[in-house]
Amino acid sequence: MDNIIKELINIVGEPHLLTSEVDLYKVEGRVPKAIVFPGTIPEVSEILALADKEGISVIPRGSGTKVYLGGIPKRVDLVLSLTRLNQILEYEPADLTVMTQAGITLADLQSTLAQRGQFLALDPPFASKATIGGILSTNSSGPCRLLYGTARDLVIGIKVVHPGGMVTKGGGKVVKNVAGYDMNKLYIGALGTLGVIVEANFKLRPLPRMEKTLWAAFPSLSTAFEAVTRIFKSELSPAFLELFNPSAGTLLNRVMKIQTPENSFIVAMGADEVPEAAERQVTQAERFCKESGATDTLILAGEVERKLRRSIREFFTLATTHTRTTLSCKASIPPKTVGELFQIADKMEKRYEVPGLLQAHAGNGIVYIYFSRPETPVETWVKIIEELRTSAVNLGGNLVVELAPIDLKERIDIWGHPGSSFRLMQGIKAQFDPHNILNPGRFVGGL
Amino acid sequence: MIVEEGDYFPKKATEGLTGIHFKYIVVKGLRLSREPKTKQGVFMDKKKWVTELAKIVGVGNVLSAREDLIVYECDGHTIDKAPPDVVVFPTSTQQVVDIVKFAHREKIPFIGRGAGTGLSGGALPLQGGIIIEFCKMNRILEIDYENKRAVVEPGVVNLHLSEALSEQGYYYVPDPSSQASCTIGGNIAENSGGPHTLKYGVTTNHVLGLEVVLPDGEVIQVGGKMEDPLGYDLTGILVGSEGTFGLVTKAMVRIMRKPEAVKTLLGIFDTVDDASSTVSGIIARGIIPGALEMMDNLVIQAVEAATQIGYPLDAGAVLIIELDGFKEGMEELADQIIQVCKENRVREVRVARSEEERAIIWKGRKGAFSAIGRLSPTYYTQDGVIPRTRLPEVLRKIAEISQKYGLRIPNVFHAGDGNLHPLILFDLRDKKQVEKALEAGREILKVCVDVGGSITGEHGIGIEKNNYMPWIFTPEDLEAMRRVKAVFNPDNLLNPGKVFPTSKGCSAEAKFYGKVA
Repeated sequence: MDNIIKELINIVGEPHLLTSEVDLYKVEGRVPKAIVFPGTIPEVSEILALADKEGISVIPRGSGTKVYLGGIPKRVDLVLSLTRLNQILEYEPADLTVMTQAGITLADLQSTLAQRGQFLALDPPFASKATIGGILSTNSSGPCRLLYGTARDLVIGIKVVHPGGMVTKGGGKVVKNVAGYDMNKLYIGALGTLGVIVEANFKLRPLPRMEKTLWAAFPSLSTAFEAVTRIFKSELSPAFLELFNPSAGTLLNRVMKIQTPENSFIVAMGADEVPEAAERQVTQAERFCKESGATDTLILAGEVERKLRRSIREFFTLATTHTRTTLSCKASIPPKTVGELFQIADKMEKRYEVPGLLQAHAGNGIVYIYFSRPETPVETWVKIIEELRTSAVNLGGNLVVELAPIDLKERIDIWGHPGSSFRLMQGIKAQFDPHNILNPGRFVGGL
Repeated sequence: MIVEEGDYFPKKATEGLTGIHFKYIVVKGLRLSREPKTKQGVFMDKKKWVTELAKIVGVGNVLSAREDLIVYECDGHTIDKAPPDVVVFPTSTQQVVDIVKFAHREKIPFIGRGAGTGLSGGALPLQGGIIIEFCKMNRILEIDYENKRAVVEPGVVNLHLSEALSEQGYYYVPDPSSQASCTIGGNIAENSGGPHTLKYGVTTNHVLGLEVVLPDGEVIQVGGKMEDPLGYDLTGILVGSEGTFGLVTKAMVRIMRKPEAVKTLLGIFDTVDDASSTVSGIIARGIIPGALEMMDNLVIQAVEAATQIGYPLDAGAVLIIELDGFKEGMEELADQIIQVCKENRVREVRVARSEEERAIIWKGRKGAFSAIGRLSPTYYTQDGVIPRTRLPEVLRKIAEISQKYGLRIPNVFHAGDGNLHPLILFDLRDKKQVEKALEAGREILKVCVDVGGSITGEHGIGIEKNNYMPWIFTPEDLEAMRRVKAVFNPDNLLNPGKVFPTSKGCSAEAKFYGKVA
């Protein structure tokens, strides 16, 4: 490894290689031998050529906000940090497109775009720190995916460095483009296992002229879910449609200092529109909620609304700082089954005595489950995960374990099985990373 | 220019057939065999093929007579032609599997086909073999309003799906101009767009899951009714793979509520420049209309001759601007758009006051391609994309190219997303004109690439633009694509010869000129 470190220094220069304090960069308890901070794409390329030749495992990294995601890596030799590649390369407001390096934080990008009244319509958690490369690699998304979609809908081009050093791009700079295969899709959510994302091009949106949120409290899951269903199936086009179980709702109420009855299920719906249309949406949704049995409703705008949006978006952080979250899972299921999964999770909460916070991007069928009580035996957690996953699969979806202690991760399949197409995924991985140096073992099926 | 005519069909079959659709052109070196031939050159009795395939799909679902195959020798891209040896019409996934296994075992090239409306030769059986025609797999299997999803077979006609959803107030968003005939399966292969994709995205944004028969006959499922499937986004890479990765036998798509209010405006401008600046102006105001379409003077003339809907014949350009969404606030947005039009010297703005008036405005746009037929029996449609801000400059360059080659080039296009459709008019009977048309098309695409654009926005690469791929992709970019193709289609029996350049470093001319004379 000493020789390799010398070569790495030759590539990036002494100041950009770290061999002390590497502990800060560990992945699931495994400490890397060095952290390298390339400043150019050719440097990334040289590093990946060297790593491939020497069989060194590489963990690509942005700000490390989602380092908890994925299986336990088989090997952790080198962390490849993209934080120096943090420039906006081209921004043409009139074209509503931007080209940026992967190491820039979303917050920095948004503040540049906001100066021209535009934004990148992604609202993943860890807003202030998450980088573009990390967001794309983990396919991180937030509540507003209901209106604006996810990374796969917004990326128009991507540049990737593969093991061996080959630099390739997919897509381009224009908003509509079907030239060649849609390689962008392959790298989004691939957890850096096919290549390291170094640049991305996005299509942008004008900032909404008005943002409003309806907040409604319900005495039961059935009443709350009825409201969700009515909104979802109506002609309304909400920016987000969230459902929280009573413990999650109580936490949000506390943070927001909103007075709603104890033990309420909460439905929150956002409207991004011209003022008249935003008003119309929240008013109509309010009526739906009342008709479905809401006990309290509240329409928010301005600073308090922005704070609420932030809290909803950063619910992971809220949940993990206010409870002793031991296990967090993300289920992706058909939207109409969200209520059923809430019931199932509620039963497990009671049966296994693990307090649970539930948040759903209800219109998308995305449910986040946060169970706490660290003293619960690992065997119980294993059972909980198996039961939850079986339920999610039976509902027509899947369940991914996100945050979990290492001893639990060792016992379970983090991702679940992707089914009949796994052979193709293995084939694609073998094509791009034949020596399995990128994030080995962390992705689906041990890829 | 090694071309022979009428080599394959007896003279009689082509007699009396005129126009590009029936013109038969054979290229030496391109595989057009009298006898079916496998990829390795092992001859097999064609009768035996037909017998084998008939066992799978039934005698009535196999075509092999020469006169029956003429229709299948090209799709909407009529410049290149090659007939299949057999066409089969499966009615189930199992039949597709059996056909593919047969083809795989016998090493016969095969290809999927929907309605044949593609504009880049995606459904052209370049090496002959079997066409698997999906028009009989046209059932809507499930409409799930609770989840806003529909499950369809690949042969379902795009518009038929929206019609089936209409009563409940839903629709399927992507609306290619050929939506009355093109199929969802074909849309998925080409990642089709349409006028209303500016706001809501193209096909890939509306497909959630697929059942696919791989080229070795294995059936896989990718995605599903959930939004975030596990592992690599295979649905995403399959959509737009131009029928070279697998055959889609089932698709799970998003459906959406129809917008409750629509406002359609027609802006009439003296110059294309003014119309272009209006497009930029609207976007700059932070307004994203549902559709933003432009037609230039030549198109206006053709459309007017065909439909007499009242476009002024001397207008330089018209813009169709359609807002959709909530009725609240729409008036104000429309006022702002009219304001932008005025700032750009609009001659007149007409606002549709009824569904009928709206239909009239759209009639011109949707009928534009067929109206062009009045100007010229044949035309070559381009599909370049440019950054919106470069519209005026690029349209001026297209006008220059038109003058340079002495060919008329009307423009009708999706201005909102910078997706151009210059229609190069030429006469197929005039060899020089064909050459010029191809050369002009090439030059236009080069202009698009030079301003940072792309060579295709919605029609695909196929065999039309495969040799232009190196203009926008490096050898490494193409290598990455080849690697993915190798995983799905390692034997290259499925839809061979598409997407990738056929000649290293050599330009496309040789290929084009070799084929058409």
